[in-house]
Amino acid sequence: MSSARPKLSTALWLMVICGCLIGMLAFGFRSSFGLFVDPVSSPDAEGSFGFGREAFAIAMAIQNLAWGVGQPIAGALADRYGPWRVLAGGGVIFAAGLFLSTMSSDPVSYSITAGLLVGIGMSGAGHNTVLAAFGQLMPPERRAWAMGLGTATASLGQFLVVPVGQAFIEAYGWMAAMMIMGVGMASTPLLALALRPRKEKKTSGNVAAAAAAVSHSVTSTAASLREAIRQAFGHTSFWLLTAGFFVCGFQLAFVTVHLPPYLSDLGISARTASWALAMVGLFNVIGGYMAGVLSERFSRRLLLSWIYFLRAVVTAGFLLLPISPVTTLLFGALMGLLWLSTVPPTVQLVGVMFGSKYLSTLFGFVFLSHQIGGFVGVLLGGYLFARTGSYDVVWWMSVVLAVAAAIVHLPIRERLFSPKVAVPVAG
Amino acid sequence: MAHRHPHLAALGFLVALVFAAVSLWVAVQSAREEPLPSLVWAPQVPPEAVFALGLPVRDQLADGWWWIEASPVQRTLLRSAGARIVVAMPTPVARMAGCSGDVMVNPAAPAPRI
Repeated sequence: MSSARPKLSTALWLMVICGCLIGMLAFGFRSSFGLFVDPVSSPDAEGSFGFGREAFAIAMAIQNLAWGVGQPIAGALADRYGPWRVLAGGGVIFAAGLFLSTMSSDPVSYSITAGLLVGIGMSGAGHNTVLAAFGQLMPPERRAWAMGLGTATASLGQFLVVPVGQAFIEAYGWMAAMMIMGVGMASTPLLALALRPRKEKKTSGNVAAAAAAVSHSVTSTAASLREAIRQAFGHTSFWLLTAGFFVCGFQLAFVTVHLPPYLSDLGISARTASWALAMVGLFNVIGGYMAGVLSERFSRRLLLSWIYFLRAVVTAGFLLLPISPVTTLLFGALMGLLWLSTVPPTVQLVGVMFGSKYLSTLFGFVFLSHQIGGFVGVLLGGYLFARTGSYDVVWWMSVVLAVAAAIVHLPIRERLFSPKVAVPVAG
Repeated sequence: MAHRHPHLAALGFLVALVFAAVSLWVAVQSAREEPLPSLVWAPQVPPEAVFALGLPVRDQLADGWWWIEASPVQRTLLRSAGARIVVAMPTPVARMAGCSGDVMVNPAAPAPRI
């Protein structure tokens, strides 16, 4: 990123900023749902629907599942019709889900609105679509940087939007807070306009303009989407990458859901647990950005291997060292650095292996494994705790999986899938 | 500037987002009518004067720092009494920041909300 590096045009800057804002809003709003558990579902809370935590949890499970399953579909639509249309449509669906959830007073309709609609909206307007759009629209020299910034702002959304959401709930009640969030998401189509592909004039010293955003090595190893999917699933490296991302989902979901009760069992205060999760969010911003920048300079597979290996080391250290508020906060900070840092190199590896034309779709499949990993992590944590009375088995399982993920990234072939020259695709 | 230093531009963008969110948060908090845990710094106000205001004092910390539950009107009262910093916070954030919330320092004051 030296000054010798090509400059970005104003249009591309605007694209990065608007894409980052979309990712931040979607990820932040989606992360805020935990605040609504009691206000929406508690039978005792004033103005709540009173259908209980279980019904709320089912809606959230549906939301996560819809997000995961919807991601490759949204990716395919983005590859076919352009990411900006999918971002705009996803934002509208997300906003509709938020608005309609305020009128969904029974569990089934709440699962459809806050669960299904928000999940589908998240797959269309979430940071994954934004990062894939950057992978297709940014000049190659700036992709890693843009993805790092996109990941950092999504993380920042989690860190900033949640307390603001809490303030809205306390100030205006949960329904008004949900509607305010809906208004925020409804701005997505406007922001998405900045991500329309455009041709730019070639001016001296302006590389972004040079190649015209559309043709920035929009390559593919396949002639069609179907062929691209067939190629990916027939390629060992794609499976290895997908397996690694499963571990990422497993660890993130397990830590997010089960860390507070684990700490509580060990006598660590709820306040320290909250701070530990806040540290995760804060350091995630730094880690996400750094991962983007580093993945431009170093091998992505080795970077991913190191990230998973360090996760194993950090988790093992946390388990072996005497537990205290200091080690808890340190764990939060270090895990935060390694949290979403897997995303930029993973997206880029997909692009490196299969080109950028079907990047959204193929990364969508990789992300689906992430969501399945998250589902398994949460479920296994609860199940084994119920059986053994302890989280230790799942914690150590997480360490072993992280080491396994570090190993499976090593044989990934970090080059274009087809040994032949990639097919440049115009428009 | 932004073209030549993308890292600085990215940092500036992130800081601007933080600033916007914090501003929004402060604006929302300021608009609330009901009392909220408020972090107060009143180094030159004697403790007796703070207690005399009759507000629920949650914590009396060192160097003039207090946690006091106060409404917007009461926060204005605190400022006019000489407090230099009066910042209201949502209860969960206040707890994370160290407000104990359970035991009143001045039992004669109205009952706490949290």
